[in-house]
Amino acid sequence: MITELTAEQEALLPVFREQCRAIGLSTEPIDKNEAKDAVSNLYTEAGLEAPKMIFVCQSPAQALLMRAILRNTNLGDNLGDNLKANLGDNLGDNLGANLRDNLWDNLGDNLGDNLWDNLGDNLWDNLGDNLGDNLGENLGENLRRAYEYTYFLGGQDMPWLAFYKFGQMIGVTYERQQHFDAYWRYAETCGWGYFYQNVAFVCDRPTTLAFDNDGRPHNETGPTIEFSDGYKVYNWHGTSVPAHWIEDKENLSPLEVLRTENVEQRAAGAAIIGWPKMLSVLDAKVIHDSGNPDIGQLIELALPGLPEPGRFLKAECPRNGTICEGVPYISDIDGLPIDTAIAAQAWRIGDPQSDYIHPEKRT
Amino acid sequence: MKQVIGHQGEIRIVKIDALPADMQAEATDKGQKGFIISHSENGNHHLLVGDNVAVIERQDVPSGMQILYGIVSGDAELVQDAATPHDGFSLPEGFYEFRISREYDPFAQQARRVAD
Repeated sequence: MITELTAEQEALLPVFREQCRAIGLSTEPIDKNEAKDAVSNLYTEAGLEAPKMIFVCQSPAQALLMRAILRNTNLGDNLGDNLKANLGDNLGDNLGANLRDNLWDNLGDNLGDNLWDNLGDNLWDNLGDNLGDNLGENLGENLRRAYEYTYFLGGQDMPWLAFYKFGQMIGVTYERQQHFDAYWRYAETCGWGYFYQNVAFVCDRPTTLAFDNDGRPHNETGPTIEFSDGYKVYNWHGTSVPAHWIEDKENLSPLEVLRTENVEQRAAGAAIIGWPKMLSVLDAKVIHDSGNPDIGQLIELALPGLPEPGRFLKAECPRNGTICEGVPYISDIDGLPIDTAIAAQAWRIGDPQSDYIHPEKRT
Repeated sequence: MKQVIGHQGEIRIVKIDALPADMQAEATDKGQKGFIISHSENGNHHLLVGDNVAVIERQDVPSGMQILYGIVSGDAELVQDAATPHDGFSLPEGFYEFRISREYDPFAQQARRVAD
């Protein structure tokens, strides 16, 4: 049994990880015939009969709506093979979950932990935690009763597939090798999927994906996830927000942001709208006034629902008017509290407050 | 010796005697209009423009910071590519440090904690 990696194998890990990330973040359209073949193969390798009908959909939303329509109208009865009845329980356990348990047993705890740390954990932040979960939550909120969870995320399943695949590449053998290969092939060639007895819905990949520097879905000017049927998801540094908060942010009202029940959305909305505009609806407490509008004031603002006020530098910019920008309580540069407007100015540009010289010329 | 030249929007411009020793840095590409010192979502980039100019970006920076260095041989200008731009700065021969100001979201982590 393999329990440790060689130096060459260790060196290969980051290369393979990025290959897997590229699959997970692909926005290339899927090949419909290849996708259908991969789905059929996944069924048969799991010991199930290949689905009689495979619908290729433009997005998970389209797939779920199609399933709901087929289940809830008489149309389903007319499609033959008791399709309507088949659209109840999905085949998550048969096609996937059982496989995972089996694979882990073959991989062994030592090697599995090592590979998870290097491959799975890293990819999970980007593809699973941020992308997959975000899209799933969004679908759940928008589609409500038509929503159903799926285990099959296509390329976004790379976090868990990558480390089993790497194990396979270095010589680990699995009892259900062909089933795993079929799953891998599905992930390489398809987007999300919803699988039932006799019926499968396979989705295209997104056409757009946008992230911030920390790998969280984020786009200040448009959707973070978009599909070719027009289904879009909007996020602000990972927090899901309504479309108009991004698409029509000039007309977003501070009061609408404050009325939002979800506190994460409220914080995101305030950042989207900008703190100068939020000042009109929040009480500001002045902590320090430099006496010079150019250097400004250090103020505290409280956001309803959150326990601690936040600190902000409020100053005048020659071009943009009033600016209001968040600062931490303690500077990471000199470890000192940010208690003055000068200290806030110093933190913004990464200087110790003792070294900060405010410029005479600002444009 | 550092000489604070000024701020153009979010950019702090400091003339320095020499590039910092032992820093990790990478060269940046020159675009059609010049070197982008600060990127703008709506295209109103801040640009270092000049014929004999090179720009490197420091990699070992405090969290959220962006620090670039301009090596100016001859004359250069820091301008903003916008309809109503921030006024420009003429920069004579020398080394310049450009620090792009950072922001902190005091509520993001709190909100996440409360939501969890």
